[in-house]
Amino acid sequence: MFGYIRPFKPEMLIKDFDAYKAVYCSLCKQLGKDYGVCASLILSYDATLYAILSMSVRGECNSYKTGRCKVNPTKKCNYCQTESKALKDAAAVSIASFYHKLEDDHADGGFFKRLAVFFVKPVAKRWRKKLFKYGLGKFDEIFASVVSEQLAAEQNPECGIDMAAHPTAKALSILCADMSEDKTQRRVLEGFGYHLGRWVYLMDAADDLADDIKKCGFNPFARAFSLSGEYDKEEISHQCNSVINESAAMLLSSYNLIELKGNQRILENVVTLGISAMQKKVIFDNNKKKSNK
Amino acid sequence: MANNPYEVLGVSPSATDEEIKTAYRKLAKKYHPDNYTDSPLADVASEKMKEVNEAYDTIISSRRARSGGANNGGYYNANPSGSSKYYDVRTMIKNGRIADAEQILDGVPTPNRDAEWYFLKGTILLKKGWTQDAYNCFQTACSMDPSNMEYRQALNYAQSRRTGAYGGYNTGAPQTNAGGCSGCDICTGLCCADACCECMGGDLIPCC
Repeated sequence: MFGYIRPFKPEMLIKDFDAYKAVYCSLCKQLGKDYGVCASLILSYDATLYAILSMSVRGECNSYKTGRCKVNPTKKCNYCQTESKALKDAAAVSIASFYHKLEDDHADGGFFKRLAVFFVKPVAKRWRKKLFKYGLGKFDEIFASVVSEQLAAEQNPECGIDMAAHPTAKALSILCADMSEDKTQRRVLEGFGYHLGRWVYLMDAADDLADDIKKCGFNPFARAFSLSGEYDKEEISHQCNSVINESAAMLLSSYNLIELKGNQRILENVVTLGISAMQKKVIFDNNKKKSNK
Repeated sequence: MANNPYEVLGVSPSATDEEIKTAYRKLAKKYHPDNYTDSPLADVASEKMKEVNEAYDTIISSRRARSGGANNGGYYNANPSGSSKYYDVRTMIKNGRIADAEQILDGVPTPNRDAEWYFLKGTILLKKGWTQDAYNCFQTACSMDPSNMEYRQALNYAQSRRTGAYGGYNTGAPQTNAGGCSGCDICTGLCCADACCECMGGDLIPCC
């Protein structure tokens, strides 16, 4: 995952922001506890959101306590009061996605990227072993299949935007459906996860579009709009935005049907304002910055 | 779920009629069938809508001791034309047998694919979450049969989703200026201030 799913801070209540931060810090602590101090470094906004959603669906962790930050001992942070399955899962998701992203980078990265992977991979391997030890191997399987299905999709000559986005979308739909036992809610969460995953994948594709065209790498937008060399950046940005808007609309309509037991305001902020602001930033503002360089 | 009607609407029992109406409208807008056309979750949404309608009716009728003005039902029923040659496919889609419906459609050789084929294919793709291919199918359906309202409606919904009206980033919406002040604003401000000073006998910018 890529850090696109974030709250829009200016419209947040301070107490909501504190609660968001508390989950962020709790996840950091959970990573450190389950996988070693270094694992806290791979903490991400996406995994935090996953944890918050999972907690809200399960109705876990409604109170916080103050403690010292492990990374910066002079700072005080709020942490979730109780042990939480949501946090354990979110930590496992972070580890599994990180490990398989490394594998992927090793396969198609440049020299320096591969060098970095060479040093980091043994550590990630150890984390992954622990994942299996905790009986959370299912998360590893989910992300392993993303990598292999993604590769297959990219090699398919008929691969369009939807086919390219499908592996990531499917992975998130499985992850989200897993949060509930109720049959209807599982369906709702599946729909939400599918479009959240699709949204994330397409945002990443839109973000990398210029680079991918330059380096002739695979990019679903480049292929769907037959782009190469020079193209009208403004026009293509609008087209990408339209495609991504459809997923944003779908994920919002599914979100409205999720039965939440807490943190509604935070999640609503993320799926409405956060997503909108991120689309503006990544698709329009970043592109302008890149083309001015 | 036989919930407390006030809880369903998210209002306290002491809320005024006006507050209840506002809460009801907000929820009705949220679960409105228009937001779920061709969505695989349409049934869940309509269930929620029913719950909200019932809660509103219960509250209003208990308050007024007569049936309230809630308008329920009659929202959404795009009846498929009975003479459709894809009647079986439509029935399958309606019953949620998406994979079967797709298999039958894909079995139709390319030259025989008409506007309705593309419309139904689009509907199936949309249910799978493949919104981009669905959009292309609806476009094809509409260009093959521009007079068909059913196809046109599906395309219109996809188009309005794409503008960001239902979520995402709407490039057409007016930007909310977060208290910014551009160079232009400063100049106009100074000119106005100068004019004001001059009419009172003073002068802010001596050269004009």
